[in-house]
Parts: sequence; structure tokens; C-alpha cells
Amino acid sequence: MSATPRHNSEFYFRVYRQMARIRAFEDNANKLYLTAKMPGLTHLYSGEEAVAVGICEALRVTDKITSTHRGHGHCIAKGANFKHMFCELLGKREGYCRGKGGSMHIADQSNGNLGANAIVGGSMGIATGAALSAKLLGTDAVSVCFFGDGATAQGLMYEVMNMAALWKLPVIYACENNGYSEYTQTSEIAAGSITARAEAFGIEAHEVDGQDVLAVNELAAQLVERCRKGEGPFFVELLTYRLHGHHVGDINRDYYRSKEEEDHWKSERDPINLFGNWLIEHQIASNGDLVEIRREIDDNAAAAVKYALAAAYPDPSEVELHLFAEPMN
Amino acid sequence: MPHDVIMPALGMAQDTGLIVSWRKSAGDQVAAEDILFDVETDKATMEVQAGADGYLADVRFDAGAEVPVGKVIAIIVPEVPDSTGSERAFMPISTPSSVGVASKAPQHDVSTKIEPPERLSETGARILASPKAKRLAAEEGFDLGLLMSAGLPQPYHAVDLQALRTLAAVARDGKASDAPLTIKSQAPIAGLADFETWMASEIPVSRERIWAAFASASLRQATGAANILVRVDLPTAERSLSFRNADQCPMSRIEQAGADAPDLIVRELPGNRTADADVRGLEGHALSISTEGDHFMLALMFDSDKLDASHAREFVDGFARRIDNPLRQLL
Amino acid sequence: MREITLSKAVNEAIAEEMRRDHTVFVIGEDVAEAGTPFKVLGGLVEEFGTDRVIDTPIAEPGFMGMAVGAAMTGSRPVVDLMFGDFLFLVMDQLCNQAAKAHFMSGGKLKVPLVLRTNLGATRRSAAQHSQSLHALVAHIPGVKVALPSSAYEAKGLLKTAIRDENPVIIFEDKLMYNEKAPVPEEEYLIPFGKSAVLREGTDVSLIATSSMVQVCQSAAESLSEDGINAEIVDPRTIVPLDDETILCSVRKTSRAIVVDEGHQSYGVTAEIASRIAEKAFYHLDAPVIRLGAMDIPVPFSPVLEDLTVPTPGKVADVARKICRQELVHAA
Repeated sequence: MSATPRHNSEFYFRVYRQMARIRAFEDNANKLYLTAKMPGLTHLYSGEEAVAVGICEALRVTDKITSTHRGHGHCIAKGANFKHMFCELLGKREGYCRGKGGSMHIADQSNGNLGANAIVGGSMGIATGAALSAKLLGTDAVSVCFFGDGATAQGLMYEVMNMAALWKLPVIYACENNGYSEYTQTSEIAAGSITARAEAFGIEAHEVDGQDVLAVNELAAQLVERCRKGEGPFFVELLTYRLHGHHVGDINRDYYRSKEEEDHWKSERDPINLFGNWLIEHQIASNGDLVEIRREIDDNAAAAVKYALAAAYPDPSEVELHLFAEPMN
Repeated sequence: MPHDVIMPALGMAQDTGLIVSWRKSAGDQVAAEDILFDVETDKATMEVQAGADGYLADVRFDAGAEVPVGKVIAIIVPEVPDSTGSERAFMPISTPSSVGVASKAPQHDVSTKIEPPERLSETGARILASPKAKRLAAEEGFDLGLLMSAGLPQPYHAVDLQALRTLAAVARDGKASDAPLTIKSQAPIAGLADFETWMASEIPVSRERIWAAFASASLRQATGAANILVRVDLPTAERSLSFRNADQCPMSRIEQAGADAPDLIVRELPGNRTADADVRGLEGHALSISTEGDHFMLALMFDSDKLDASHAREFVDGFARRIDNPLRQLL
Repeated sequence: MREITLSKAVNEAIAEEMRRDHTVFVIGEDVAEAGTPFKVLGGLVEEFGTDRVIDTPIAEPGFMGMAVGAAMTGSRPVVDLMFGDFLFLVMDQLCNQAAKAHFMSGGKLKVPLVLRTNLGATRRSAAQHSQSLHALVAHIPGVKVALPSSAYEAKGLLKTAIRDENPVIIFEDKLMYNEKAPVPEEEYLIPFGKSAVLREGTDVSLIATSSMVQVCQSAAESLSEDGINAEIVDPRTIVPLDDETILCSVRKTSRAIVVDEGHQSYGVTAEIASRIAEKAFYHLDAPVIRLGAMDIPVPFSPVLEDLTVPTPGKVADVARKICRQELVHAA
């Protein structure tokens, strides 16, 4: 957090609010799971907020992202609201996907989110194809492909990075390296350097502290602009950490990571705390301001949860709805 | 490996062979050198050996069949065949004389009905037939078991329905459907005898007028016909008397009518002669009345094109009840 | 009417749609200057340039996935998958991504892409370049599957596919690329989900897809010499499947043989046969027969390969049997 303020305070408040919103959403999601009010499982993004917010704050609504099974953070950062997200999480009719997607496929498509993908590495083709489409159609849209360190083991990544590099496509591969591929340390599943994989294709690759939202945002803003000028693609490895387990049911994690390590990231490396402290330090916000922001977000989240719990499930008649898209005319 | 039994080419320019007889039946154990069947060609009748050890199965042609040479007419299988299903040859073969009376199956609406219940033969074997054949048989009220009892090879198809219709008619009436159909009944003589005795003490009425009155009343009740001409043939007289609407006036006043074509002929036969006289060529229907012991035996032979079978049954029933209790007729 | 090859018909369909809609582009291996190994796409790159006729590395999952993303964002990719056998490489992108995006997003994402590929054995290409895998994708809800049976069908179905808002997989018979058929000069579309009755008949319905339509046409010719009148129904698309036309045909003929070049087990023939059995059961006078490719990898040696797919002789033989109430399988 060494950067000196370069934006107006409105920008910094929005960044803080977006990160706090992700945390509040995940805390409520966890609670819904623990109280058995949520069907299925969910993979919490808590701890990685600076990645999604730092990158999405550098994007326009018309820019595209592809998300992952750990996708609530991307969804919020790209502009989604709580109400429709909690409805989706609970399988309700008013969810973003009308209750057909759930936690792992939650996405607000109207804000350029091309879907959260529950196949690890499954969205790399989609993000690259969206960049190809933007180039062919002459829009200036940039695609960001979010994926985890685990997905670097998938062959599809190498096929599409090859083509993206050949054709100079406006796509940014954002590798959220949270240190664990599900229940296995990344060092055990990835040989060599992650960024070197992209560099082999001649793709410019960067490594950045994924807990430093300003560093992430600054890098993302530069790369997005360069993509728009036809200098893509780019690869970014964002070093981050998930504060919860692989999913909400992953409670006993001693066998793959220590309590001490988790405590260290919670107390020293929490991206929201780091950024909050930076705001206070640079006298952009007082502690009271931040408490007030978080209280307001908590209230919004509680209201959205309450709304979603009471919301209607899809009518059974919708079960086959949207199997096929109808003709446009 | 099953061994095919084929129709052998025995003559020089022989296209077909006539199976004179089978020496073995389906399911029999046979040895290769056993005589399996006799074949008649243009030259002579010859015995044909089985050609393989095993069990005769899948007999595809009965005795009497003219079969192209080279065609498989049966097979010999190494193991005792499963008699319950898979080998088409292993169904009981019996003659049409043992056919039971077809029961009228309930009519279904095709669009809503479920599959007809699976039919089982008398021996409990499953009857194999196409869904269409089963549906058509059920719709027409026929029992596919008749085809099996008649020895026709399974499985049955829609094309077998024609044979089934014929067999069902035979089973029901004892004759093919183009012959007149017969309904039989009986009634005690005592009732009519008492009645005649009582009538004799009042106003004597001839037997032919009694029959005419009973027949007219019964036929009118059964069919609702307005105008009925009955001819009565008596055994004792070489004559026939016709009566029109004989039930619509007192018996003593029944008048003879002209000898127009009658709606019904009543024939009283002498003694206990059988009533199964052929009425083919007669116009109208014929009720034969004979006696057997202390009963009148009634037999109505009728043309089903002109008289509905249920009406015929109702007529005979009404006639029998009137003999049993003639006073009903008067009241 | 002019006659053009299936290859030319495909080329015309793509060129016409690319002229009509600038969002349509072609992507695949050797689609540009090479015009594909089957020379189907020759001339397109000259007219539309390399931006819209895109040669890719040999990376099927990669360009398939990119087509999904492009389709989601306003383009209409026409993907060329050089051999149907390579479907196995793109299954995740096709079945987990393309097929599910619209449904899983509650109707918000659309994936209007066409995957052109081929099917058909007997090109002496051995087991990894000879498969007919359309049943594999037809099993996955969310993709449509078209099976043109001639140049005429190929053009009309492909144009419809390109205009469809959903992922469509179209399988061309690679043996038919050089076969000519009448194709009108004027523009036309063939709607999905409408079977074509290519030959009317009364005795047996031959339901045939793609390469098997011709096989059934020549089978029908030979059957007509025996007085058997076969009806041929081409479903054109197996997703959506117009089973009503098929059922109408079977209700008329009471017999059905389903012929498709995919492996017989768990395949298209099984699906269509079971719909017939479920929905036209009481009209069946014979078992519904499936004729598909043998359940073995396609062998290289011509002598062996030719045994693996249904032939006119096989179809006619089975048709004769069921029309004559003979058994194809044990009763």
C-alpha cells in the first residue's frame, strides 16, 4: 500500500464499499449455509476481494468477464445487486439465473458477466472468444478471464493463450493464486513458474500482490487500456488467499494448511483491513466513516437476505423454460 | 448349432414337395437316421431322415403342405427346447373340434384403453401376437387362443384376423358364419299338455294355432315387428298353414292367411327326430320342435343377416317360456 | 433444376449467410486457403478475408471454446470440426458450456453457434476417422442436431442452423460431399423439427437419417419389385425430433425399421424405436427393428469395414421378413 492517492475520494470509497459488500455477502452466505437455509454448497471469496474489485473497477460495463465456481466476488465487483444474488443463492425465481444456476453459476449478465463456470478452467475459451468477437465486431470491449491456480493445469488454457497471442486479442488472463488447488498446495500441482507459462507464448505477464487493491487496480487499468489499443493479451498472477476452506463444508483443514497460516492472513493480510488502514492513514476516511459504511452494507445485506428468504421459488412450469433460445424475430 | 431340416429336392424338375406326414412331433427327440417325414414328389412318396441328432423344433409346415424345395421346414436343436415360449413350435396342437365357445370380450375405446390382459392358452402357455393383432382381436371380441387351438403357428399378426373370425364363428355356432346359425332350447311338455286339456274343455284350439300364436308373440316381443306371418308345418298333415299376427286375437279366432313368404316357419317334427334339418334355401327362419322324453326340444335356425342373434335368442327364450306356462300367453 | 454437389451446397449456404449477416464467421483448422480437406469451403476466404474465415491451430477444444464466447457476445461462429471423431475433444466446451449457458443463465446468455462436422464409414479411414457420433450429442439437452441427407437438405438445414439462436451441430455425410442433387437457385430454408416423407408406402416405414436415406431408397426400390411398398421418413433433425410424422407413418404401415449409421446400441435407432413402441404400440404388427452400425470400432480393411454399416440388402431383407410375418429375432 505504498501508492499515494491519485483518484478522488469517491473512487476510494466505492472501492472500499465494493470490497466490504463482497465480505458481507459471503458472511451471510456462510450463515445461510450453516443454518441450513441454503441448498447445496458454496465457495466463499472472502480474503480475495482486492482481486475482483481491483480489476473490475478498471472495466466498463461493456467489458466482459468470465467467472469461476468461487464467483460471488466477481459478480458483485462487476455490478450485481444483493437482492437478485441472494435470490439466486436460494434458488428463487427472482435470482439472476431464475434459480437455475445457483452459487456456482451466479452471474449478472447485463453487466458483462459471461457466467460463473463450475468446470475448472472451463471459461478460458469463452473469455478468449469474447475477445475475438470484440475484435471482429470492432467493439473496444476487453475480456478478463478469472481463474484459479488450479486451472493452470488445464490444457485448454494453453490452446487459447496460443491463439490469443497469435491474433493479439484483447483478453487478460487473471490467475487468482490463492495457494491451494482445492485441498492441495499449489506447489504440489504446478511445476515451474505460473507467469512463465504465458511468457512462453510471448504474452506479457505480471505478478501482483492480490491483497493490495490499489496495486491490482493500477495494473489492471494499464493493461485494460493497452488491450483496447490492440496490445493484448496479458497475463496477471494475483497472489491472494481464501480465508475459508475450499467450500463452506471444508471445516477441518489442518491436513493441508495450518491454523497459524490462516491467522496470519486474517490479522495481517486481510485486503479490506489493509485498504481501510490506508484510507485512514491518508486521511481519506475516518474509522467512523468505515464503520458506518460497513454497518450500512450489513443492513442492506440483511434486508436482501430477508427478502430472498421470503421470495417465491420458480413455478414448476419453468422447469423446461430456456432450454432453447427463441428466434429473435 | 441348430440343424435345418429342409425340403429335399428328390426329382429332376421338382419345384415343390408335399409333406405327406410327419413321423415325429415338435419336441420329440430324434436321431440322425430316424425317419422324420414322408414327402411326395411327382414321382413317388419317400421317407426323409432327420439328418441330425437332437430335438425336433420349429415345425414350420404341417402335413399336407406343398413346400418349395430347399426351404427350411423345421429345425433340430441339440437341447430340449424351452416349452414355454421362445420356440414357436412348442405350442399344443389340437383340432378345431375341441374349440371352446368364444367369450365376447368387452369392447374398449381404443384411444383410452390399456393393453388387453395377456391371454393364456388352456395349457397356460403365453399366446404370442403382435400388439395390433391383439388390439384388433380385442376390439372384435375374439380370443386369439382359437388360432392356437387350431394349430396355426405363432406369433399372430393382423393378417391372421381373417382366420380368427372364421374360427370364432365356428366356435360360436358350430358352423362357418355363412351357414344359418342355430339356437337351441327346451321346455317341459307338461305345461302345454295341461293347457291343451283345459282349453279342450272350453273351446278346442288346434296345435298349429297355438304354435302360431306363441311364435308371433315371441317374435314380436323380440324384434318389435308390426306385421308377422308365421307358417306352421305339422308332422301329421302334409300341409302348411299360414297365420298373420296370430297373437293379436283370441286363439279360437285365429284365421288362416294366404301363403305369402313367411317371416318364420314352425315345424313340429315327429317323435324325437333331430331338429338339425338344413333350412338353407328356405325363406325366413325356421323353428323346429321335436320331443325328447318329457321335453320339447326347440331349435331355431336363422339367417344372421336378417335376424340379430340376440333377438333370435330372445325369441327362442320367449317361445320356451310360453310352452312352459301357456297361460301367460292368454293373459 | 440445376444440380450441385453437397459440398457446393454447404459452401453456398455459408457464403449466403455471411453476405446477409456480418456477424457470421467461419473458424476451424485449414478452413481458409485450404478450404478444408474435403474442399468444402473453397473460395470463402477470397470473398470474406481471413478475419471472417479463420484458420486455427490444431486445437479443437480451444477454438470450440472461443466460438462459445464469441457467440455469447454478438457473433455467429460457424465452427468447422474436420472429423466427427474429434467431437470427443470438444465435449466440455460443447456440452458443459454451449449447451447449458442459456438455461443456466435463466435465459440471459445465448449461444448461436453452428458446429459443422461429418459422419460416415466406408472411406477406409479406420476407427478414429469414421465414426457417426450424432447420438452422443443428441443426448445432451440444449443442442440441436441436424442430419442432412442430400445437397438440398444440407443447404436448407445449414442456413436454418446459422440463423438459429442456439448451438446447432450439423453432421454431413462425408461420402456424399461429391454427390449432386437438385438445389434451387433461389434462397430457401428447411425448418428444424419437420420430418420429410420422401417416399409414400403402405407396408413398412423405413425411418432413415443422413447417409441411410439413400440406403433405404434403394432398399425400397428392390422391395417394390416384391410388391412391398415401403414408406421412407427422414427426420432431418434428431433434436428437435418430429416424431409425429414418424408415428403417423407407422400407424399407417404397422411396421417400422429405423436405420441410422451411428452404433446401434444406445443410439438414434433406439430412441426412435422406443418412441414408436411407446406411442404407436397398438398399431404395431411386427417388432420395431433397429439397423445401425455394428457395435465395434470401425475396422480398416474394406472387407471388414463394409460389414459394419447397414446396406440396402440388409434393410430390404429385414423388411421382407417382417412384411411376411417371418421372425427377425426369436419370438
